Amino acid sequence: MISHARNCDISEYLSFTTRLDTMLHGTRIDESNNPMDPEQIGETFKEALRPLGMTATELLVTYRKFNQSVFHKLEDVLTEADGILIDNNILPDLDMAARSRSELQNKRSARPQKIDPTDRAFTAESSVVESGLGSDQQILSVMQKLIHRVSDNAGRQQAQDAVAGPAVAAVPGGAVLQPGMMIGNQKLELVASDQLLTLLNQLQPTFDAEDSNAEQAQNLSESVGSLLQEQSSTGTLRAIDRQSSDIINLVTFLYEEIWIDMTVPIPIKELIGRTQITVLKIALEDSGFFDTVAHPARAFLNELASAGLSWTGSEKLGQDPVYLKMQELVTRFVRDFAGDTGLVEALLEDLIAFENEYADANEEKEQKLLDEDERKHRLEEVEQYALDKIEERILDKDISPFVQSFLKNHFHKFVVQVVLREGPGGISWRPVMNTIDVLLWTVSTEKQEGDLRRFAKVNPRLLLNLGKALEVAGIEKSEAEESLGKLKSVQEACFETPPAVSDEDVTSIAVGNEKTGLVKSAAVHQEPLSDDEHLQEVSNYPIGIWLEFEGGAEQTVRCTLAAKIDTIGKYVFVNGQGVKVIEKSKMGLARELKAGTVKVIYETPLIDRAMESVIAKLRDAAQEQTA
Amino acid sequence: MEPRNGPTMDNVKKILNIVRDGMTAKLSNHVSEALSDANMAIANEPASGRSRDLSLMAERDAILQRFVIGIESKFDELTESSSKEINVLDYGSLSLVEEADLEAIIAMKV
Repeated sequence: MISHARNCDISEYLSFTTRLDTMLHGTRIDESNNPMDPEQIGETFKEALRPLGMTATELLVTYRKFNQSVFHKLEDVLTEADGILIDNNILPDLDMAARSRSELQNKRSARPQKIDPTDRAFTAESSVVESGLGSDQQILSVMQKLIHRVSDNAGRQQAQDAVAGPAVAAVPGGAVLQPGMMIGNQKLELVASDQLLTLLNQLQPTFDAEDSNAEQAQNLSESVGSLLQEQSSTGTLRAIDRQSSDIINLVTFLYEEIWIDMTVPIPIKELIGRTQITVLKIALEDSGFFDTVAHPARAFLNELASAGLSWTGSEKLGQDPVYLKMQELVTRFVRDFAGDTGLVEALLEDLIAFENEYADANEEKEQKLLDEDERKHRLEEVEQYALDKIEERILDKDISPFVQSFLKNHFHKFVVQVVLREGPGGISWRPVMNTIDVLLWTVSTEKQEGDLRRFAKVNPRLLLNLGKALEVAGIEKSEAEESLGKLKSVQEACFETPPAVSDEDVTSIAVGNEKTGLVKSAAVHQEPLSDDEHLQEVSNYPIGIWLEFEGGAEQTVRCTLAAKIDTIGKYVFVNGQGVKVIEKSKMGLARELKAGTVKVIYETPLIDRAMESVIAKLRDAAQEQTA
Repeated sequence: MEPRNGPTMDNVKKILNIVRDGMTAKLSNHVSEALSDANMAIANEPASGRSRDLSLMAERDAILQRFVIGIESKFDELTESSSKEINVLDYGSLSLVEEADLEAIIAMKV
């Protein structure tokens, strides 16, 4: 809800944030402190409701209404806020439309989500479909008309080849089928609804078989067509009615789109692939599957895709509780569905509840440490927690042993003091972690143009702060001075040696909790960027955006942007568990973007995306035939 | 620390206050509408899912007041943190711990 609100009004949001940031020099404005950020507004509302002790149902209803009445109107509010700043001469000439154009090209979440999917599919393309299609048109009906249009223009078989492969029923398209009519020498026998369901049950085992090497989704329409042909004889032709045939084709198209969606990890595709028959049964019984965004089956599939957003296929999923739960729920979905969508709702609730419980369990350690009294009695846990967090920051195992020791001993004592005082994630936490990142940057062997200048600016402050930190940590003054002196020598030595990398950008990557040290990302030559398009796009990445990086040896890493450290031009990424896995220079990230070795992972619900793609492809096929 | 090439800190506060007041008024109207709609929708929910005594309409003013105070405080924090930046141990946009906090930690040293 919050991401949607933020992204729907991205242009107004960025304009306001940029102006506010400019006006408040010295205070960085981002999602965490922008009063007009949807998360801040939402949190404030949540807090305002808290004293009422509302039930879960009441809260859900209220949040939905809040979404409609507040978030849906946020664009106007932000425009007005922007207007006030412009009236007061704060960046009056800022052209955010131009700035956000590149973002729009790369952020699916910034697609025109406020427009009905029907409108989106047919904008400026009204000639494709028959007149009279308005925004209130049901999606299924629109898709059917497109299929028929394609069929009428080019003949059923040819048309379907053009958009998605072989036809489902071995009968000519376009004709009105009547039981008993003769097609060639064969008498037509229409398959009744209950027989169709039995037929689909026969197909289920082939869709249960997982095949991670498959190059495409199992073709449902082909499978049904083959089965019908097998059941036909020389005298009879078994076929299904056109409505059912359309739905089978559309579900087939939908799963083909899911299969080729590059942002869906393979393990998720395999799981979702198993649901094809059951989803078809649901769609045959209830056209709401196509027409209603909030249909339980759509919500279930979307949640499956969302839960596995950070997976790449290289993880040990057999040991991942969330994956195992998803497997269990998909099995129940396939095995137990008998026409009652209540089951799907229950499975969806089960999945969400499990995800929440799992997240809570992961946070349990931090929760325990949130209580000040608890922290005092759990000193060992605090010490271990602080050490874990420091180690998470050290991705490069090759950094100076002295620096590692400095961080894990002297600085560790300081972090322990910070945790004891404020608990995990307190007000100082982010700056403390950023300080570690800056220190590590100063002793990194990879340098880029301008780093020496940045170092000269940053280091005096860094050393001053480290000195204070050591004082807080209780380190003797002489020992602290000696340590900082050694540290300074290491830092200076790092800036004296020639850059370790001349033609490739090197990225620190850790997968999961395993620190793998330096992993060369796909070779990206350090050519100066001839334009700032990619640099601008990287600058506009919001905290929380998900990216997929190509690493070496076909390794990919999915992670979310956790921090941008402008002073040294560093971007820090964490995985789904919040563990730092990648850090990148802004320029390096822009180069990777240009080279195509990093891509944005879109968070729009999977089925909405697939549905849009199906409509677009049908529309294109119809257009090509008309041309 | 003054804003770069822009208004003075006093003016920044004045401008932010205008934005704050305008936005809280506008958001309050929308929140009020949301509460009215939610109140009606909750009344139509099965009794098992709702509290017996809840009336969002009766609580509306109090909720709005808390909401407005919350949003206002977020605006106020911006100018407060800007003022505090003067004493912050920072390098560019980065700081380890604000000096006041650091001194407090030192004072609390066990």
